[in-house]
Amino acid sequence: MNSVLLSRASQFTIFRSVLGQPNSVAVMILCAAFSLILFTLTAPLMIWVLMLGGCAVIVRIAGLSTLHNLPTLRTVNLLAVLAVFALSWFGLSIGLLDSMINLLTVACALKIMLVEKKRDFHLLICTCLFLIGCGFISSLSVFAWVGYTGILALLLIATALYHGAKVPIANSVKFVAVLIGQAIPIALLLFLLLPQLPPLWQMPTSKSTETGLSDTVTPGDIASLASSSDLAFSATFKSTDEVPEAQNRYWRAMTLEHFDGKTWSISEKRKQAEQQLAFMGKPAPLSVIAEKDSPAVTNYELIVEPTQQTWLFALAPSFPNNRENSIFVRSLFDYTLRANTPISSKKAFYLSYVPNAQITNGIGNFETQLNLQVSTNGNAEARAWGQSLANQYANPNERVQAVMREFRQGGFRYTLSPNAMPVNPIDSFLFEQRAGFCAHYAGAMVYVLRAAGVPARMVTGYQGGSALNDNVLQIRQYDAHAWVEALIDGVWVRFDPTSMVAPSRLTFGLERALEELGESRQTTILRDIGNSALFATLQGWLQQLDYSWSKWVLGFDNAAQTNMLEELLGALTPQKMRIVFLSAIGLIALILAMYFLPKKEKARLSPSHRILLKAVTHVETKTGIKRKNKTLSTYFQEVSTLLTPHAAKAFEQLCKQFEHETYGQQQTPGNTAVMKRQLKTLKQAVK
Amino acid sequence: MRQDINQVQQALSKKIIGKEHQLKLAITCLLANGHLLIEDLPGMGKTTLSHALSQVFGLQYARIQFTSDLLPSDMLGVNIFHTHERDEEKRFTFRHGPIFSQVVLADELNRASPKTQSALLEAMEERQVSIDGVTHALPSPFFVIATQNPSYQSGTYPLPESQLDRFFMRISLGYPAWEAEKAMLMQQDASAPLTQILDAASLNKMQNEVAAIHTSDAILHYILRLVSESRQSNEFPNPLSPRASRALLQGAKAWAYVSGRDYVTPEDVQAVFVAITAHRLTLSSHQMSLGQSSNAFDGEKLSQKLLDSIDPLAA
Repeated sequence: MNSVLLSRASQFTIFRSVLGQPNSVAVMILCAAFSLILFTLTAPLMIWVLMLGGCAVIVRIAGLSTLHNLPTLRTVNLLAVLAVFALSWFGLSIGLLDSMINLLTVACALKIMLVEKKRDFHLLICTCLFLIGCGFISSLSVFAWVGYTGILALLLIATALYHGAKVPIANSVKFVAVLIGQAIPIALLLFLLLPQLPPLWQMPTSKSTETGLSDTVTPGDIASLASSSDLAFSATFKSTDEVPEAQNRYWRAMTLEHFDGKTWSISEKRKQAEQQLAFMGKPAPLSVIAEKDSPAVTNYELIVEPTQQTWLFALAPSFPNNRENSIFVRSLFDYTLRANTPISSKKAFYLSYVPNAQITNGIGNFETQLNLQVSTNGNAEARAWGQSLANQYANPNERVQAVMREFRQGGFRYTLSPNAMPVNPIDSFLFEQRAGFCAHYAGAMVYVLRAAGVPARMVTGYQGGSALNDNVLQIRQYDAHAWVEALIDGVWVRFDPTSMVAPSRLTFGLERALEELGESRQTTILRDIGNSALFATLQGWLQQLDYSWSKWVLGFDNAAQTNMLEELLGALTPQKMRIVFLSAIGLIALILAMYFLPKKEKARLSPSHRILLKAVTHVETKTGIKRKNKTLSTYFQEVSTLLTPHAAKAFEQLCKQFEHETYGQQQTPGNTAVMKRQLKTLKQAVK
Repeated sequence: MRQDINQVQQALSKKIIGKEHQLKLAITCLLANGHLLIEDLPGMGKTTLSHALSQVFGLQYARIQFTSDLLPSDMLGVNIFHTHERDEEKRFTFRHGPIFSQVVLADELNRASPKTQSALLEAMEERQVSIDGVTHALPSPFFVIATQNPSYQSGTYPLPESQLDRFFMRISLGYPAWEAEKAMLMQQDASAPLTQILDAASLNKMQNEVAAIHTSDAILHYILRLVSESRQSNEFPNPLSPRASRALLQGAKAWAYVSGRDYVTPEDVQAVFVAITAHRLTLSSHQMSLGQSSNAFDGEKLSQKLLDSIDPLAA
C-alpha cells in the first residue's frame, strides 16, 4: 500500500514538474514559432524538408511529457547524414540560395529534437531569426511583415520564459511587450534618418521561383498565365488625368523577333547587336529623346513584384526619369527597359512616359532585315497568303489592314482554351481552327506580315490593369498580353489583332471579354465568392494596404528621404544634417531615459551608504581586491593587512559607523558628518 | 559572544570536539525555537550532541529509534483500558509516548514509513498531538533533533520537500580533524554526564529576547532579495518558501543574539543561510530523472551560489 502511494506521488510530482517547468513552455512556444516559420517558407522549402520540420516539432512536443522518449543523439546524427545527402542531391536543381535555406531549416529541425541546454536554446532562437530574414527575401509585403513580427514576438517571449524561470507567463509577455515598445520608436527614427544603404551582396537567383512572362512564347503560354490573379506590378501616376485610357495601357516588356516555326523568342542577333552598341558607347534612342527636346512627359512609379528576371513593364516609350534610377535601369534599342539586376524582391522604379514620341527603327536597316525573316519550316499556306497580299496591295499599311480585316470578318473566335496545334501551328490556326488566344493572333499576324514583306515583330507584356484608386493601377498576371508591331515608314506602329475579335478585352479586361464569350477564367465557386460584396470590399482594402506599404515603406529610398528632410527643413546643409542626427540620437536617449530613470530614482541611497561605497571604491583601487558581493566585515578582514594601519583603522571605523546607522536600533545624529571626516582621513591614508 | 552561551558551548565541546561552528548553529536553532535535522553517516556523534544539549539546558530527553515498522502510536502514545481496577474505575487512560519530552531525538527518521514520518512532522509543526479526539499539548520548550542517513543508503524513505521544509536547519557534523579526534580518544570520562548550566525557564526567556532583536529594513530587503532571486533564477529547482524566509530572519536574529548584539547584520544572515536553506533548495532523488545538472542535488553548493549572487550592501 505504501509503495502504491509512493509511486503515485512520484508520478504526480513528475507530471507537475513537467507542466510547471517554464522551460518546457518556452520550448513549446519555440516549436510553435518554428512551425509558423515553416508555414511561411513553403515556397523555397522542399516537401521533405517541410515534413522533417513538422515531424521534429511533433516529436519534440510529444517528448515534453516523457522526456526519455526523445530521439537519441545517434538517431539525429543519422538523420543529419541522410539529410546532407538528400540536400546535396537536390541542391543542384534548386539553386544555391534555396538549398541554403533548406539546409538551415534542416539544421533547425534536427536541433529542436535535441534542445536541452541553454546554449542549444539560444542557437535555435538565433537560427529562427535568420530564417525570418530568409523569409523576407521572397516577400516584403505588409502581411509578411506583420506575420514575421508576430513570430519574432513569440521567439522573444520564449527566450524571456526560458530565462525568467518562475516568473508568471503574463509577466514575461509584458516584459517582451515593453521591449518591443522601446524598440519601435528607435527603429522608426533609424528608418527615417539613417542613410538607405545599397545591398551589400548580390542575392543568388533561385531557379524555381521565376514568375510571370518568359522570354520565349509558344502560343498557349500566355493563356496559362491567365489562370493566375497574382499581382504583377502596380503603377502610380501623379494624378487621375495622367492615367492613360484603358485601351492605351500597353505595358511593353520585350520584343520577340525570332521565330523557329513554333516558338517566338528574343533574337540572338539582336542581343549581340545590343551588346556591341553598348560596348561602343552609343546611347539608346530613348535617352536621346529625353535629353534633347524636354518632351511632354508623364511621370509614374512602378512597384514590381519579384520576378527573378530583369525586364520591366513600361508604357512605350518610357525612360528612367532621374540619374539615380538610370544606374539601375537600362534602355535598349527596341525601347524596352531592363533592370541591371534580377528583381528578387519588391522594388520601385521611377519612369517617364512620352506619349507623343514614336518608336523609331532603333538600329536601322539591321532591324528591318531581322524582322523580315520568315521561317520556311512549314506553314506554307500562310506564306502564300502573305505573298498574295504583297501582290495585291502596294502600301504596307494596306497590307496590315487587310490582315486585320480578315481577323474581323473571317469568323475568328477568341478563346482561352484553343485546341492544340502541334503541326504547322499558324496554318492550322488561320485556316482550320480560327480560334485562339492573343499570342495565336499576334504570332500569325507577324508571320503573314513578314511573308508580305512588311517588317513586323511580336511584343509581349501586359495590357490593361484595374484601378486600385484614382491614380493607381494594379496589373495582374492575367493581364498578360501579346501584340504586333509593324515597321511602317521607319516607325514601329502598334497593331493589336485581339481587338478585332474581342474588343472588350482591351477596354474592360480579360474577365469581361471571356464572360461575353461564355468562358470563365476561374471556377464558379471562386467566382461567386469573388463577386460577393463583402469579399470584394475586404480584398480591395487589403490591396490598398499592401499598396500603401509598398509605396511608403519599401519605396522609401535615399531620394524620398532627402525629399522628406527638405520638406521639413528647407535646403539641406551639412550643419543642418548634423543637427538632425544629433537630435535623433538625443531623442532615442530621451525615450530610453524615460523608461530607465524612474528605476534609478528608486535606488536612491542614504548619505551614509554613499559615503561607505566611496570608501569601498578607494580601498578597492588601493588594494586591487574587489568587494563583489562580500559583506563589510569579510571584506575588511581580507584587505586590512594590505592597508596601512592608519587607513585600516579609518576604514574599520567607517564600516562600524555604517553598520550602526543602517542595521542598528538607534539613529545617531551627526553620524554623516563623522563619516565624511573619516572618509577624508581614509582618502589621505590610501594616497 | 554572550557569557552564558559561551559556557554552554564550552561544555558541549567537551563531548563534540572541534565542531564549534556546528555547535553554535545547533544552539542558534534551539534559541530560534526551530527543529534541527542532522544528516550524517552513523557514528559521527549525532546522538551524543542531542543528549549533551538536553543535559546542558536541563531538559527532559527521549530518543525514538525509527524503523520501517514503527507506527505513529508507538511514538505518540495510546489509550489503554484498565481492566484490573474495580468496575467503577475501569476506564481508558492515555499513556504518553516518548514524544512528550522537551528534547526528542528522532533517530534515523528516513528509515520510517511516510505515515510515521508525517505524524512526527505534524507534532513538530502544531506542538500538540490529537489522539482519539483529545488534544494533548506537548511540553515547552519542544525541540526535535532528527537524524537522517544519507539517502543513498539502503532502507531509506527519502523525506519529501514539504517535510524537509519543516526543519528549521540542517547541519552535518562530518569527520573530526586529526587533533580533535586524538583529543577525543585521549578522553578519560567520555560517558560522564555534563553539568546543567541553564534551565527551561531561562531558555524560554532567551527565546523571547531573540524575538525582540532589532532588524532594520536593510536586513529585511536583503532576505527578500535572496529568496526572490531563488524564485526568479533558473538555477534553483526548488525556490525558497515564505516559511524559509521567516526562518532566515529568525535564524539571523538568534545568531545575532548568540554573538551578543542587539541588532542583525548581513553577516548574521550569511552565517545561518547555508544551514537554513541548503536542504530546502535541493531536489529530492525522484526528480533526478528530469535532466537536471548534478549540482542541483548539492544543496550546500546551490545555497552558497545563491548567497554569492546577492550584494548585501545593495540598497
